[in-house]
Amino acid sequence: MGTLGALFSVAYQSLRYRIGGVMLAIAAVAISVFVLLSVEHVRHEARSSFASTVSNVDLIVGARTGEINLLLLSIFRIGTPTANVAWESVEAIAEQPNVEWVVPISLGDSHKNFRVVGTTAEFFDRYMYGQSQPLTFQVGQRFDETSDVVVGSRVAAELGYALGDELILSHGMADTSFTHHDQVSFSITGLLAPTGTPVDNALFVSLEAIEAIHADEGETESSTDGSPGYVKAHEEDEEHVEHGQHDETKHHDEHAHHGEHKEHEDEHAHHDEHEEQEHKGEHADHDEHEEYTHHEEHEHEDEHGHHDERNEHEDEHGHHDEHEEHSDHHGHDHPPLGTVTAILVGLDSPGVTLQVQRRINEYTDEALLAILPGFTLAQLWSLVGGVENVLRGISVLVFISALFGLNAMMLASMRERKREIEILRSIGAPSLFIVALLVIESLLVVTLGIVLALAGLIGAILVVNNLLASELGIMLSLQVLYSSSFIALALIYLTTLILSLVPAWRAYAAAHSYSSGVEIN
Amino acid sequence: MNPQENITAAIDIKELVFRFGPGLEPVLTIPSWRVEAKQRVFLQGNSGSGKSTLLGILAGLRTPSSGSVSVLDTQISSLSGRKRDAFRAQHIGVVFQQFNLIPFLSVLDNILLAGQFAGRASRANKARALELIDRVNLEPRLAGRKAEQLSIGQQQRVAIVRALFNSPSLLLVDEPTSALDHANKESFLRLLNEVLDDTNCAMVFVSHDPSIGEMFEDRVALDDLNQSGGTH
Repeated sequence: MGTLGALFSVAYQSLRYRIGGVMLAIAAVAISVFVLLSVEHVRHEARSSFASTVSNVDLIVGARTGEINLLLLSIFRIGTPTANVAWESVEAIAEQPNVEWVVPISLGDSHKNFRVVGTTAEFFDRYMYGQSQPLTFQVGQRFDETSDVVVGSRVAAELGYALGDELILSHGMADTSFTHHDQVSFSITGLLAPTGTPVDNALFVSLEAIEAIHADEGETESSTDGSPGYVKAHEEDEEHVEHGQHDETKHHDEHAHHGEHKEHEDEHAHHDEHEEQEHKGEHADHDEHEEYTHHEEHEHEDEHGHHDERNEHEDEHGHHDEHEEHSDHHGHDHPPLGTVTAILVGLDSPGVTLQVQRRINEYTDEALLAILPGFTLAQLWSLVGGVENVLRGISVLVFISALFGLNAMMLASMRERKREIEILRSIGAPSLFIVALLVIESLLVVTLGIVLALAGLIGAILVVNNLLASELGIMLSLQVLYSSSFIALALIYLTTLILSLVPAWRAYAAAHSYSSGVEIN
Repeated sequence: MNPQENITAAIDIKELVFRFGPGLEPVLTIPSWRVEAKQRVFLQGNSGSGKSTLLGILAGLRTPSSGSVSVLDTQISSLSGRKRDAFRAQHIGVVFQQFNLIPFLSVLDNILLAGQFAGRASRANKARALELIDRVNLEPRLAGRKAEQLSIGQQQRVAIVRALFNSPSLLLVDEPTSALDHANKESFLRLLNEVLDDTNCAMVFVSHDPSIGEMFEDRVALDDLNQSGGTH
């Protein structure tokens, strides 16, 4: 055996000799490395699954709110629609150069706490997740008729729905909506396969179905005060026409000055009443009032005048919270008929994304906001990034304690090792051999711990994947080492090296004081 | 520098002073002491007389505070640490009173490790090790045993094998029989002398027990050498 071979052989036999303490040290290292690597893994998986919530969509367009608000609403369906996009804008965007497809989304209704998404059948072709994975059906197909509904996998699993089941969609968000009624029933035409995205938690119906829910609602509600909903709808239509004229004549002007209430008042007489009520209360009341008024009586106006006003209020007063609060109370958050909540936009070339985004943001007929989903997802992730740092901090602390444990074990064994070291010295072992022996023993312990941790992590992922795949459609990657993990592992080795040099140095010092073991007599 | 041949003296000490730290009283003050090549010397010293310290200096494990210590015609204290280690491995054998072997290594590995540090080729080593094991009347099957599984008497015999394995020119023995009973003590000493007869090796045998000294022609008391008075 060469000196190096001898070194490893002695180190190995020395570790075997101390197997009990060594096993404990290996276990301590393995557990802490396991924690460290799993936190890293979960962090990466969370980030990548988060980032792959939506793919293939180049832009998301909505009424002008915050970018993250729009993303949360349109993709995660968190929050409530506070402003809507007129159908005319949908058409205008679809006609933009470079725009290949548009898929409108209408939100605001729910079914047993799951969100109902009104969209076009094209949604199932266009919406993708992960690495451009299309939505697939477990069974059935996309909606065709107004009374058809497609349900996400978790909705189906949790509510026990099967193909062909009939269900009622309620109007509004709250489960116990005041306007809950049993008139509009839908039948399930398709169950989506699990995606691990918010798609799993939603029900999908056609835009016409959303309109039907609300038209129907108008009927039942207005029947209580004696006037049939249809008539009301007609009245609204008339108003709509009226506003249509405004559109042509004054719209540009109006938009040029958004931010000034007076402008609106001048243009729309009925706004006066509106504004008056609004100013009586606090600004928070304004939103409530506005929501209420709009949705119940002036739904069609919304798309023409009130958007700007509303946006101003948001911008000026930061009333997002109030919006949502009040919306929840009332449970009337669906867009007015003829409007949508957001538009998913696909472009024919990725190079023009920013150009189209700017064009949409500068669209003059309506205040619109276009966001890049990937970019905004990253922004959103950076908001929740604090949590991952906390996790990281914990795993680093766990690891440091394990390293100290390892070193403590080495130091504790120094007493008995002192004699071994004297023997080694007496037969001519160089100091370097003794230092290397102790360092190699530490590194072997750490290496075994890391190998054990990796094996454990991969094993755990395989087990968890079996559960996750069937339940959530998520598969954790078996790629458990990232560049950050390599840095962590390198740091582990470095600190082990440094820490093991402490007992090694003590051994070296002991080797130079030829006393005990010989002078015990 | 080849101490194996034509060594004039195994040990030649002049004006040695050793203290454990600057400003402390010297433990050893030896104006002069010489051991000839192949000479076997019994060094009598009581516990705490500084005999182990002297052995440490002779083995190159300690460096004297002042004076010159020549071992096998080599100024051992002037060698670098690394060279001292190599010198020790090649030319000096050491046997302690009790703990001589690495407990978790086999008897054979304990012996071969000494050969390793002396830089000897390994193929012939095993045969030589087994030969020496047989020479000290140990059963060959013990070669594969872990050192800790052997009795103290057996361990001390393995210690002789290991100390002589590299054909040293100087053997330093420190109370090797203190852990042995009377019968074992005698047979150990006889065996040690027999084995040494095959070699050209000088020996310094240190013990507090004057009765052992009767087996040696050359005897010296450390107290006579050391002018520090051995108060350590």
